[in-house]
Amino acid sequence: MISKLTPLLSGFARKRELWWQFSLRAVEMRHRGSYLGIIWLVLNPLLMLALYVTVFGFIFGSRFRGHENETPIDFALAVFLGLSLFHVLSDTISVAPSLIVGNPNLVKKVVFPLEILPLAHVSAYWFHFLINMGLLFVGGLIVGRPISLTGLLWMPVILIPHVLFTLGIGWFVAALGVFFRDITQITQVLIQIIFYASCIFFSTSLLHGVTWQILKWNPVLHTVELSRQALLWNQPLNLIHLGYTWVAGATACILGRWFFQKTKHAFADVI
Amino acid sequence: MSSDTIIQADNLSKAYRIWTNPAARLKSPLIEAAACAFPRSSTPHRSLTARAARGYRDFYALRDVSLNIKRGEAIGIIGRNGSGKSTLLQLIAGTLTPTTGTLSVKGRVSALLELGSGFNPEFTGRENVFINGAILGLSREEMTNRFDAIADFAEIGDFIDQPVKIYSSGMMMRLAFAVAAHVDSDILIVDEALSVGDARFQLKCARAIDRFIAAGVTLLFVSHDASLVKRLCHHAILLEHGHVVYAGKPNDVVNLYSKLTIDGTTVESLKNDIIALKQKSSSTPSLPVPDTQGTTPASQTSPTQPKLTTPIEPIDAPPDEKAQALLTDERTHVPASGHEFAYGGELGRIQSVTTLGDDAQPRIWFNTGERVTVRMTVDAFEDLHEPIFALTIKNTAGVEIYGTNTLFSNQPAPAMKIGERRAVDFTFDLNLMPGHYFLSFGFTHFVGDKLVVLQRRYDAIKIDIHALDRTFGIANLKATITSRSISSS
Repeated sequence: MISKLTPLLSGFARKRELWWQFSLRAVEMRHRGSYLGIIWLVLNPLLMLALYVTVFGFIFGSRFRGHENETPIDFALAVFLGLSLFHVLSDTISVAPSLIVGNPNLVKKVVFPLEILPLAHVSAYWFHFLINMGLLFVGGLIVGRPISLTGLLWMPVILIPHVLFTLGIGWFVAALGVFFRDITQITQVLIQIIFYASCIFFSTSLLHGVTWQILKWNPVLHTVELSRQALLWNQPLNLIHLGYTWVAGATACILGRWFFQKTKHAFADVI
Repeated sequence: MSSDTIIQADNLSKAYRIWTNPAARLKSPLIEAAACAFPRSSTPHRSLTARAARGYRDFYALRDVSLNIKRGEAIGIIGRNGSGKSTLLQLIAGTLTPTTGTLSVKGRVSALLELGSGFNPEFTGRENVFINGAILGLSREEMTNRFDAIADFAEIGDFIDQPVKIYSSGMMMRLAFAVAAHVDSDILIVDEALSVGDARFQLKCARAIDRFIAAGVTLLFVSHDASLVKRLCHHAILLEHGHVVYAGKPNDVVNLYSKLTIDGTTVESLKNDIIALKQKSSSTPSLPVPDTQGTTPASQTSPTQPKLTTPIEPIDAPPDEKAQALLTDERTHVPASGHEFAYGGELGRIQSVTTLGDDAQPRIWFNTGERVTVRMTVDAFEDLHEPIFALTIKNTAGVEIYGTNTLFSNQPAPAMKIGERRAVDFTFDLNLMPGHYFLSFGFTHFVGDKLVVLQRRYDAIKIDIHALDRTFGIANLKATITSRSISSS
């Protein structure tokens, strides 16, 4: 009966409950049924880290030059941070097209706030990101390169735009995936493009001329660079770049959400 | 819209746009929007609209349906495949939006639209129960409080912690129904889901639905099982090609439907029947039409209905109050499950119950029409002056097929001494059609005018009746069919 008196609150509470349940499942889904279970949550990023350190740090000998005398370890930590940020977005883009299509029951058989689905999955990816941050923190201590605590205070300001950005992209791609099944072909290429356009293996200082003129519009690039500067390199932050990520993140979130809400009543017609 | 109207639909239509491809679903509205940028009669407007129209064609699954359903009503929806039943239910459940017309639904709708709808196959039954609860708007605490009751009702044991994908369809349905039965919905929608359960579970569901109706839950029920519709529903609606052909008493609607399912029958040919039905109902508007087929399910629970008193009128031996007390007692203790439910046993006990076939062998399956003996042995733990032995047969829908006792059938049993054991035989021809039936037993006696229950055992035995031929229906009347020539050529 209380639910009838306070429909707004209960509507929110209900969505929060659903969001929580579906986020938990999204985290679980990845490791359910595997032998090592949740150990993969930590093992997976560690393996990823080891691979990139070997290939880029030792074989190619790349450096960011964020420090005076940068070691492969420094390089590895920076790549790890950038990759973690990138993976939140790439996982969102690769999973989103099948989120709605893969749950026809929730579209056709029950009254379900579908916007929860992309939201829950993006939440799960951010949870993975937080685990990676924990690893970065511990790893930094072990190798004698502790992350900057002042930088840590900056992180929320740097990360929130990326949260908004991934959410917006998640909603948009999820809705688009309902109508265009071939979108998965495009997203695979798109992920590769974002990967190379986000300066994960090199510093933005290497970009010049036309390349920079184009790539500077990529908000992910700025988020990656700002995070490295704040957490690892103790460099002053470019506040214009930071402001731009906020504008881009908020715009993506609002547009993505708007597109999803506009199209969601049509989902049942085509699924 | 009056205060007790819970579902109100006015000229509801649902057109499915059959899109030539999914992309057209997105493109055509865009082209239409672009067309609106031009003046209405201009050439670009017309050509764009025509282009948009190429992306789809409309199919009306439901056309101009008006309904007014009141709180606590049980409505049966009947129709052939593709007549729009599911579309109507989905509209009411809110998973589809109407193309035209208005629909207003008050309260929480709990829909069993299809098996395990809303279940995620990867997750366990337990997790799905909580997800389902959250979908229906219940918090985790509320679901935690109800979880044991739900698991209990579903009776799927340890499978509750297994992923739903390994469930059988029966298990899935049990769990889905159990959840729907425990979320306090105002409207319950059941779309042919009940048919997959076994006999015991069907009985359990039918009982649960009885309780919902008694508690004022509005029920929308789609089934091809005409007898179930007749038993459960107050009203029924016959749909054909998205139109409401007739709405009225379940019995009439079921009859029309059976006519409609005969090959070659069209709605047109039903016209006369419908006119006749409408005249019938308008000429006797206030009189409750005596109905022997149980079309008013409320009569089973409400003592005010005249139906309850009719069967005992021919009995003149016991005083009316006595008989009434006995009958009321027989009928009020209805079990909620298909499992045996017994109580009493202190002053007298039903020691054993057996069913014997015509070969005098104990069996639980019989051929239809077979002469059977249902035997119960009873012990008296005190002197009983007027012992009464009772037997009731119910089908899987919980309908009482037959009930008898030594008092009603005017076959009084002699008094029992303390410590006496007696075998009571009910012998009769089992003229019931094939199916599952449940036998319930009663051992009571009168102390003065007061009925004392010694012991009752509900649904103590489940029997199966096997077919001998292809006759159909509920009762096996064993008609002899003869033919002879009467022309004088």
